[in-house]
Amino acid sequence: MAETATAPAVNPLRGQSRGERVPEPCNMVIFGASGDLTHRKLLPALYNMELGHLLPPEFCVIGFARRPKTHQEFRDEMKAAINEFSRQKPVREEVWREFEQRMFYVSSTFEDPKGYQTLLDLMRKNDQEKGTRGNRLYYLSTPPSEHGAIVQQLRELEHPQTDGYKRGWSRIIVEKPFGHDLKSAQELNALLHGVFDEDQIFRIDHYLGKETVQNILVFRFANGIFEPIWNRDHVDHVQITVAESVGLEGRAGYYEQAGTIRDMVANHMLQILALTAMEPPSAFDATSVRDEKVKVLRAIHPWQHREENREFTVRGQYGPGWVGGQQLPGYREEPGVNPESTTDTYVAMKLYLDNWRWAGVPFYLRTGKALPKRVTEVAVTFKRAPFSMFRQTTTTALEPNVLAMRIQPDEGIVLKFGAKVPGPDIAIRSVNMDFLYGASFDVAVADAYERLILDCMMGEAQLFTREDEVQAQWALIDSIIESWQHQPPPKFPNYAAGTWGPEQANRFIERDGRSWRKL
Amino acid sequence: MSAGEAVWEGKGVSVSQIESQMQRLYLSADHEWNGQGHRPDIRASVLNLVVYAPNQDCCDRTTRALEHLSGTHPSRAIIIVPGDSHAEPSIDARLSIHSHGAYAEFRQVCSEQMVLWIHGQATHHLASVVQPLLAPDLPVFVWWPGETPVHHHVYGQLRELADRFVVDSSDFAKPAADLVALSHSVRAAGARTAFSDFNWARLEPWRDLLAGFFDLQNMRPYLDRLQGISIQCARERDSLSFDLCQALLLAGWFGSALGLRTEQRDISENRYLLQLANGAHRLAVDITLTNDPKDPITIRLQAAGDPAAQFSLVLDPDSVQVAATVSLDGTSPIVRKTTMIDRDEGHLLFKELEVFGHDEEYERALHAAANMLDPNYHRELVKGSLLV
Repeated sequence: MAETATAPAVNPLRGQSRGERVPEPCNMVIFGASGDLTHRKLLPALYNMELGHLLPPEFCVIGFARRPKTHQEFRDEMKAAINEFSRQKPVREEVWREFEQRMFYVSSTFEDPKGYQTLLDLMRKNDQEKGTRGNRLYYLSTPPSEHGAIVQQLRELEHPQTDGYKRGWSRIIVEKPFGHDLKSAQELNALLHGVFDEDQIFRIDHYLGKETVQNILVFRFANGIFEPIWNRDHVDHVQITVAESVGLEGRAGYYEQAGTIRDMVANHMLQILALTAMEPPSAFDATSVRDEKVKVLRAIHPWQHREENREFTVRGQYGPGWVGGQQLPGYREEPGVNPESTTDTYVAMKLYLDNWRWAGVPFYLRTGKALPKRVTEVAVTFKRAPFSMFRQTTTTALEPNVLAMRIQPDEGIVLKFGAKVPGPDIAIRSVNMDFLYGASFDVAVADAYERLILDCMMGEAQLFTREDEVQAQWALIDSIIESWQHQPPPKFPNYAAGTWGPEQANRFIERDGRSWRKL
Repeated sequence: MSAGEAVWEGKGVSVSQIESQMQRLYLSADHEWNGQGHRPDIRASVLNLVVYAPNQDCCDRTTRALEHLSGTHPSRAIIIVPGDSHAEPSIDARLSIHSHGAYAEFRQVCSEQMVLWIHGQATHHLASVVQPLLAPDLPVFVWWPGETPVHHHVYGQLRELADRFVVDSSDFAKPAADLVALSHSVRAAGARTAFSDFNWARLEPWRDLLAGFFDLQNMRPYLDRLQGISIQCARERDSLSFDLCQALLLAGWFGSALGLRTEQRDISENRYLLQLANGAHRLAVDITLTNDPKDPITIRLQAAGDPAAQFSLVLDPDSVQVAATVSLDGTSPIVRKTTMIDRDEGHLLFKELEVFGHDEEYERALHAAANMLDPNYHRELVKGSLLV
């Protein structure tokens, strides 16, 4: 007969708190804990949450990876990572002494049932000794190729054949990319659904954890003045830019298969598009918000014909150049990259939304690596004044009003409008008024992962993508990639590192009588 | 209104550190200035100004010129001082934000200044340093004080960034050759980049006085009958004196405004004799250089007619007054005196930052002057502009 362990008794003193929301304790298991993400993002995020008293004192983290390590070796390694990558450092010893006692490590391959048994035993021990209450948060920080093996093994942990153990909640966080096309995303979803319900699955897009991305929703829906003009009657076009100034940074293995279209467009950019274009949800809960987002994704005008791609997309690959005073080799010269690679490091596209709010309004998206600066923004350009009564200024000379939501760096909101230049004549000059959100509130801005992990622990899924969102995103991307495959091979590289992309991308928007914003 | 400044300096920094440090400067400035809680900050900006300062003296000079602009042209100014290109690559930076005071709950940050001393290979790729630091979606003015930029190895990069490129031809070492080169570069830039010259701004009061001669209806016909323009000017400008570039631009201005083609050139070290014509209208231009900047500046126009007329502007540098004289044969001359004001660089820059778009009158004058100087210069413009 299988041993039936006894779950710890509920603490009656742990009631509702009016302070900062603190989630229930849990074991957080990071699969792939030897990897870059754990060092750079996950453990620093957890440490900062600990510093901010956002983690319950019983919270435990368990690293699960192939490399053999003791608990203490893992703790020391994580301390070094926090000292390097945390936004708050150096590590405070008095905090660390307590925190590291709740850090553990399991060395195993992802296929070995014995490793999972060790994990299970450890989690149950923590339930008893630390008070983690049977709650489990699994974090898949592994290449997608490992997902299958891990989820298979988790089936036994989550749905044991014989076990009367009383558990709490279980949730699983899956890092992007969520599949690499629609079929693989559907397969991954099916795999996960074999073990978890949809409300237990948290697909991470870390952009959604950024304060200023969340500010898009607040800006739009907490203020009454913007919604009446947020539509085709007043908006000329929208530009969404996600620009990176870095090159490949050693990620050839992943990037050669993915390209920018999968790395950035399939998730971050389409999510930002959804937040910008969505209808106001009836409530700020996961279902209502995500329902509205998926409507946007489904409203994207489909690619009817392969030829349309020529008109609606531009792709590029960077060659050598200079960025920020530093020389950068071309993409094909990077280690691990095929010298004949046709992987895209730049994509520009034009989308239309087939709905009443946005019909006829182009959404221009551009993203790329090795561009002159790192910047992410959404810029809504309004229609020009229909008539100029100022004789010295024609309507074409007046610049249109622009509302730009800058996500990084210099987080803030910029409004461009025309103002009179002091003097006897009516001379009008455009002025940019920046509301520098990042410099305005003297609250250290949390890293996106801090927010997302906290939300997952609280069971709040608004900032995670849902199954149908992911599938709608991949359906679009698949159609674009399929169309590219029917075009002649691109002549790469077609832009130098440190420039704003291929010349073709300029012509692409200029033939509509518009131009890319100078960033 | 209260004003304030916050400053940060760093050595061996990266471009991304500069940007993030600027953000921190806002936060630290907020702490210093109010200490009573946290007010939202607004940054108002109308342009980016990039200054290429070839040495520290120039950097100091341009920084002083910028001091007066923050209230009238809230902007981000980036002053680049190239160092030793063979040194280890590094950027040293001095950042400052200057704020005018509060209204309601908001403080308006009026200007930002970045002084960047750049060393190593990056001195050949200055645009790669500047571009990430430009404030987004604002026009970019590039100011290049000193000698002509056209032959400099970073000129092309900075011109590509610029919506307006500002030079001062009074600093050109070879006025005639450098004006011709500038004209070619302006043509090559096309619609993309507009150009300005401080010397053209200095000519404004002179042009105003010269144009004023022909404002009256009874004087207007003399403009079509101009036979000669003689200009005596200094080889090098000193304060209010008139230098060769200004004289050449003025000649170009007349030529382009009157639609005259250059037919003959006789150019020596101290004298430029030019014959302009358009059909029956012929105009002789005589520019004579003096070596003493204190010699009077004279511009004389002779026009045929009955009676013939002479117009002159004479500036005695000691008195800073220009005597504008109109003489008709057989009548007493009419003299009007105007005080000339020497405009410093800050004032001149202010005027240039007011101009968005091409100064077509200047560009026509420049191209006409270049054509006068270079017999191989050809330029065809659309109807209504200079004929070559």
